[in-house]
Amino acid sequence: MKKGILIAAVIIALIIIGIFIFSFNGKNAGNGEGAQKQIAAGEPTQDYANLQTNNDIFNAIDESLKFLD
Amino acid sequence: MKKGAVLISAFISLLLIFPIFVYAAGSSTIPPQPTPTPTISDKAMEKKDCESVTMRKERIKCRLQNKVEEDGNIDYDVRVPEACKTLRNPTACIALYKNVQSSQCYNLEGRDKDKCFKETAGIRSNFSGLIPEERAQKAREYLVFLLYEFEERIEDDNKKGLISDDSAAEIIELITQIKEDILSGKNRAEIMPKFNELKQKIRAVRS
Repeated sequence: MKKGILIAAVIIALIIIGIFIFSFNGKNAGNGEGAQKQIAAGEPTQDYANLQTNNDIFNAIDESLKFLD
Repeated sequence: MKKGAVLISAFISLLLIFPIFVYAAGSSTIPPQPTPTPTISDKAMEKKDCESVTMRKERIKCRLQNKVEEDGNIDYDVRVPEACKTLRNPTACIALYKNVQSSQCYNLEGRDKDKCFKETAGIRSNFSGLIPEERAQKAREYLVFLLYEFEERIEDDNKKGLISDDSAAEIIELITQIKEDILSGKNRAEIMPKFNELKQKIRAVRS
């Protein structure tokens, strides 16, 4: 009987420690690059300009300058 | 009874050993790197105060040579952005720079970057949803963010040794002039000649 209680206590202790480890790692991931990607991935971006090359930026500037008249 | 004692000791051992793994998961120790002793020329560069340089182009060149751009961590309360210095209302201009800095748009790429710029300027995916009075003001803010992107690219190329300090300073000075014109309310016709000049200069150094 005592043996059974001890084994159960060990298992419970291991589960608690496991939960602690996973929550610890998850907390760290939320503060890093993962958080940045999460913000960016919130909404579809296909309607936005793809600012990769210099020409992409020149085009975006050209388009926006039209609104200054 | 003996078995019970073994199990208790095993349980205690596990409790003692596991926190070590938890601690190891949360921290890593980097072996200390030997810090190089600064040479006399390094010390002289550290002491160089670029902000006291009177001519803007020379001031920009000084920052490039002394690598004081701080990778987007500039304290705009201490160092007022060049394009804001000559404006009648530099406070609003500084706030704009702080806003885009805190949005961390410059850490993003492609469409995510554009989305971030537009959201920071208060634009949705395009300008059509804005009333005409708002449209010009939002476009000006968005244009400043796009031009700053060029500034960052030129600084990066300069750091990599792809663009000379003189060329980089010349282009950044021209970008600053365009940003000043945009922020001071000039219209498209007044800005276009400088923008075309910028296109030519950037294409000449970054193909």
